[in-house]
Amino acid sequence: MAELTREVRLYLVLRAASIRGALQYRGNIAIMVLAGFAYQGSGFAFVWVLMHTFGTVAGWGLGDMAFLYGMRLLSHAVWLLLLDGVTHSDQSIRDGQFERMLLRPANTMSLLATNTRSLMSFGDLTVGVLVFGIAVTVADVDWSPLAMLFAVLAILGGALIEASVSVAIAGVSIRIIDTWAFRMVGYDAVDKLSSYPLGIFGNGAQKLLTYAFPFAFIAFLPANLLLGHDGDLAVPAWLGYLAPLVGIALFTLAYRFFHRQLRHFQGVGH
Amino acid sequence: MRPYLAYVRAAALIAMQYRTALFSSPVVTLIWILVLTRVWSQAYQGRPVVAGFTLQTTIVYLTLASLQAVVIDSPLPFVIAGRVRTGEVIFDVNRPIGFAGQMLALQAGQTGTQLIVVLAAAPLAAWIGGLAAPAGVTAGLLYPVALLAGLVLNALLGLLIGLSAFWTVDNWGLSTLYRFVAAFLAGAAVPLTFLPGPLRAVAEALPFRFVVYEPAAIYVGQVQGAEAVRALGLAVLWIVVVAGLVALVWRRAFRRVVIHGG
Repeated sequence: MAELTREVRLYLVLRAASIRGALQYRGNIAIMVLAGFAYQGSGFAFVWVLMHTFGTVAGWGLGDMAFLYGMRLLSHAVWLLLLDGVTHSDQSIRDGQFERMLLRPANTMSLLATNTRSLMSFGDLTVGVLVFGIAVTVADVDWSPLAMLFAVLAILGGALIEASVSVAIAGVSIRIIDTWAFRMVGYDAVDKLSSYPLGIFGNGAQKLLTYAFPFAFIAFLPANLLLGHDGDLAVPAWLGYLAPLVGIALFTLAYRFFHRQLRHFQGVGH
Repeated sequence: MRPYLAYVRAAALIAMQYRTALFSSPVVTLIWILVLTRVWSQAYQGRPVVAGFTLQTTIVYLTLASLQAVVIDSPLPFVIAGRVRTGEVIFDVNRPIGFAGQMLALQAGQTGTQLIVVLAAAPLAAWIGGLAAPAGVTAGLLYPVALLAGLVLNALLGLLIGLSAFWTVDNWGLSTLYRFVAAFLAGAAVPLTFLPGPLRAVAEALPFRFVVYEPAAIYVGQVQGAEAVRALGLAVLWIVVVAGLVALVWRRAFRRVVIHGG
């Protein structure tokens, strides 16, 4: 326990330092946050235009769509705010910075996670809070304390699922030098496949996205429960309650994979 | 012209070295085509025509538009920022061919390679989304012309954004901002006729639509006859305007060239 407290404290110190670092580039702050905002904002603009014209998609209205989109963005922002350095594992290894992380008396993943100076996640967070905040007032959700607790746990679970994709790829990057292509496909698939109602896909794809690539757990399945939709799905709706557990399980698996790969680290000759 | 062609060839060879990147880019596009066409199909719910588009036309439009929009992610901002930061830009400005010309040749080589990959992925895109023959003979003839104009305009816009590196060194934020705003206003995910009034007016007033919307809309027969010819004329006009802007900005940028690490 003392060990864990120490790691968490070190992580917080490192994270604070990296954010302070990012804030030194004053001119860059606004443009980075704005870039993050444009990225996620243009994605939601698409949803908004679509709903503006059609009213509902697969039985979901604008409020419901915004709820789903916002919930997923919050998960996305949470994981990026906590662990964004993991996405730069290729570069850290190639630059020889990773050796330093292995030698320091702190958790390697903590060091890797806080080794960035990116503020783009704050743009994601802004859009997430905005979209979800508005959606909460529009969408028809019965906010009992239990539902609120579930929403928070589900958002954290979603963050863990997204994080596990990145952590697993970081594990691969220890063995092969360039994982840019994996990253590009992995992140994009998460982004595109988890932000819309599962009902738009055929039965096969719905099962695939639940059991094989569990992206449906990131936001859709929990949002579906909170919004009380009983639309026809090819998978049982109650699975959504498992979202936090799925997150913990996948992240644990990904972390163990990453950790095992460390034994095979060879360096790139610095 | 010879040195430029050599540059185009070199750029294509560079693009082909990054094979995983070359193949992962169509995978990303295909996933997006899958999601996009499913969302739209669900939205239509049997409505025959919305904003002038039948579901069938919309699907073909979206598939084509997604394939075209691949080029909006221009390598130029990244390349120029890298060369300014490392000081390598000194070699570029010392070459006997102009800097802007070199960068456009680089974009041409990359786009050429991308187009080959996109063409190879087109059957899959047709299977996942949907493609059809052009709306008619005129549409089939006008489409490549409109697309070419769009590609030229896209290259010039990418160059314009890239040149900002001479002032700011890093242009990553600006180019990211540009990429998403441009793709949206180009009609990559939504045919522009679906946009609500004010947003549509903004999209119509800006040049991005000639990169995606106009060529794709010509292809599916949504824009035809005099309207199509006018779109082509406007695209050429925008090319002249943006080329002028690039020349102007480059003249100023050249005076600001700082060689790092010299």
